Amino acid sequence: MLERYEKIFGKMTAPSKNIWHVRANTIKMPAKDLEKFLSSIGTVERMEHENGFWVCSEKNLSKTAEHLLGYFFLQNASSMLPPLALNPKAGDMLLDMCASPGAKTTQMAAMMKNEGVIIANDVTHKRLKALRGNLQRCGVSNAIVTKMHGEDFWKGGLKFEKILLDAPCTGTGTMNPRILHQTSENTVKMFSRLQKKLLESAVRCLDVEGTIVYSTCSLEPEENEENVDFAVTQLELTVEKIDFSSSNALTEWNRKEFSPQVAKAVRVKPDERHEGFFICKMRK
Amino acid sequence: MQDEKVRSLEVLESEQVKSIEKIVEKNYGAAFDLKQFLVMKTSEEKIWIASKDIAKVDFSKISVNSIGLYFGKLKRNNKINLSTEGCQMIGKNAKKNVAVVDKDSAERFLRGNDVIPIEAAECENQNFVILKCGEDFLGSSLFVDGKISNILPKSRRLLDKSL
Repeated sequence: MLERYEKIFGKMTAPSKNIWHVRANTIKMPAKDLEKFLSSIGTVERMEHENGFWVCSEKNLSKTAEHLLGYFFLQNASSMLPPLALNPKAGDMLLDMCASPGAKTTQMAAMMKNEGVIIANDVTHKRLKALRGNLQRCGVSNAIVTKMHGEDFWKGGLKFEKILLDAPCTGTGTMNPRILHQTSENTVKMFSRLQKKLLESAVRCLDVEGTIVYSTCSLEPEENEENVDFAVTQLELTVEKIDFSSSNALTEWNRKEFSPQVAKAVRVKPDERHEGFFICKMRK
Repeated sequence: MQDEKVRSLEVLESEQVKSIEKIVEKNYGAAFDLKQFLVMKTSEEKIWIASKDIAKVDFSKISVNSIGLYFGKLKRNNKINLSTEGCQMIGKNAKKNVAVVDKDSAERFLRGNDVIPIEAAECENQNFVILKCGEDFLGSSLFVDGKISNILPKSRRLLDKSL
């Protein structure tokens, strides 16, 4: 698979394992107060995202009292971008279709100042347990957790102005050697099919003029550009430009040319400080 | 389509919400405006709070697993065992039933141990108290004969040595 990615991106670096990616949970603690705590245990650098920090520390941050008390969320820098693209505001009603473990859900709740409504959906008992635990730990009071297959969510009849579809994916953007080793072409095809079904369902739940952000932590064009091309050509969505510094999306793959709109999607190239990510904002 | 626990949730009327506010005030000397939330109670007397906007959602065709934030559980004799988040909301204004612990005891408490507070002036024996360390509110447990008898749920404990 690595050869395939180098064909797309050129030479790549895997994300460093020695850097913690931290997002201040502003529902419970202002970012500047968290920065003081983080500075007491390591070297801190602010991310472009105002509430995000990279921390070099030998301490296991996931086992600190501050983490347990919900002052921060450990979340890769790239994973903070889809909520920023969706830009939820206090009072919005939005759907997070594949929400567990809740990194983006809790980020959006903080952006919404715990007002409005987030329907945070996922499907298995184990994933819902993790989601509920994180929502509670982070003090989120504006979420309803639902247990439905995303492909069938539209049957509930609810409509949303904003939808986040952070789709289940191969996870190859993490550059985890085990994932890279295990991911086959069939796995990619399987996820790509599921993602298209989820997109169809999400679009059925979207208000006219509503916005959907589609994201994955996969590097595969079949899970990314191909699905955006499907959303544009089959589901009649329009891609909107996102203002992130990143690589351009592919305009063709395997001799298939995508809709010109697909070029507005963004790819975050994996490097020391970012997992590989794909993000696309679309409007109905 | 709802989970059993969600089905048992009762949305409380204004008078019922006021009675919970009174319980909070009686136990912690803190006025807390619960009316800013949608307040719900389960058959097990557990109190959940949520953004009022949630009342606008039609739940009839979706499978709801949980709603809002767990605030605490009502107990006999007008007492309340607050969740960690409930403690963090109430703690800042609490004037009684707040037990102060030092950093070492805070860590031991978060690992599930009983601890002795360094300050417990306004703590009632056999009542639920809010544990405080510096500016942090750690959770709620029982104050018994000068000690904190730890009842922190396992899900809110530190599991490995780390601090």
